Amino acid sequence: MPENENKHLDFVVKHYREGKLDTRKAISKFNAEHGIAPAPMKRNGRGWIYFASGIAAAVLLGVMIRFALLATAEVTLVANGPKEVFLLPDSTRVTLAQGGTLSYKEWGFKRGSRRVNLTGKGYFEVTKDAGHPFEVSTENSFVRVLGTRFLLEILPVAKVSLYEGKVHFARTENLEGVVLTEGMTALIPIGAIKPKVEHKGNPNGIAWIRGTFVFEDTPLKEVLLTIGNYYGVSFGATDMKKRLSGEFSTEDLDLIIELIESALDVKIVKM
Amino acid sequence: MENLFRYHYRPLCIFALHYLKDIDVSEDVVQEAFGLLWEKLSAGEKVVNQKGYLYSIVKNRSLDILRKGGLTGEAISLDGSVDDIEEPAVEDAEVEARLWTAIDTLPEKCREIFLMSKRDGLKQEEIAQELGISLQTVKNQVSKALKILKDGAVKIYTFFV
Repeated sequence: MPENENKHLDFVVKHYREGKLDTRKAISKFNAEHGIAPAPMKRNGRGWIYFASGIAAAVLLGVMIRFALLATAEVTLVANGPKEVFLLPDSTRVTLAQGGTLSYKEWGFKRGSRRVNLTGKGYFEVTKDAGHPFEVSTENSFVRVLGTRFLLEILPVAKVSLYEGKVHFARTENLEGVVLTEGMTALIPIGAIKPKVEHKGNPNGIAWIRGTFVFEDTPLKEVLLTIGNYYGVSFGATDMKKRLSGEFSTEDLDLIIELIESALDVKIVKM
Repeated sequence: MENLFRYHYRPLCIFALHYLKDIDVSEDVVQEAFGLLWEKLSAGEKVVNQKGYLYSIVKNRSLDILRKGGLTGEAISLDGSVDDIEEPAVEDAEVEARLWTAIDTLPEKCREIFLMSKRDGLKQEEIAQELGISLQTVKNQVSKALKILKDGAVKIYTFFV
């Protein structure tokens, strides 16, 4: 046996590299690639329900109460990381930005009522189902969709950017809204009733999802504003009038800046 | 699925590593195997022996890669055909996965010295010089690492036998 032992150890040592074979990383990678939501945080007293039903297990009434409560039980998904991908029961994919939450009634989805509540910023890839519109409510807006990709931001004003399909966007469910089509953006200014439409789409609104910035003959001033907003910094440059085209990974800020500097022959400083 | 990962991810990677000799490619192959299993299960198919399924996918994919000569280096310069490669034992892979974990848990300095000596083939004097520590410290750390790993390995054996 000691011989075997050495053989095993030699093999492992020979190939050992620090930080490799990280099971947790492998799981996250797998989940991200297959759009699997990490075990959702459940709220609204489900633990209590189990407790209650445990006591009253033998009592039919107890069982009935449990079902009644289950119908209103809410699932809340929370993005703790910079962005997290969740798969809803109807296969709709939602990417939440850090701090964003999404809640829905599990029971509702089972009956075909696809209603969710959003706080923060969420990017939706909605599964097509013409018979059952997908509806997102937020504190100050309401979106109804039929199979589409869109970005809904709540802070500080509600704003929708549409990447595919068609959505109805309004202040609340019963108020008059606007219909948005591909490439359109609309926002509801604070205090306004009706959304304001901007026809110009913003390809960099979902830079955080795609992992790249895209610029096409864009003035440097605007480029730096986009990148700055993303990283929460501001920039100055020697010549703001130059224009930039290209695609840049969002991974490494310093690298982007270096690339732009050498491409446009300017000097850029963080302020 | 997460539990399957927890139990079998490392052993599967080591299993692939026996064929491929490349840790990154091995990890990719194992991810792929889990992906295939996931697709099957999502499609409502039943897979009775999930562990066996994963191992057979990893084996076949690894052999495919070797046949195509997709990897440069050691794996290609094999004598004879790919089909002659002896199949690594699942149990061996599991033992080795535990050893890998044991190395992970060595104290950092101890691990560094141990790897320099056993993996990188540096002489103990060279390590002492490189790190600016005494020869005795190097000797102590290497034997400490070996002891921890062998103790660990013995436990593993008694666990499996």
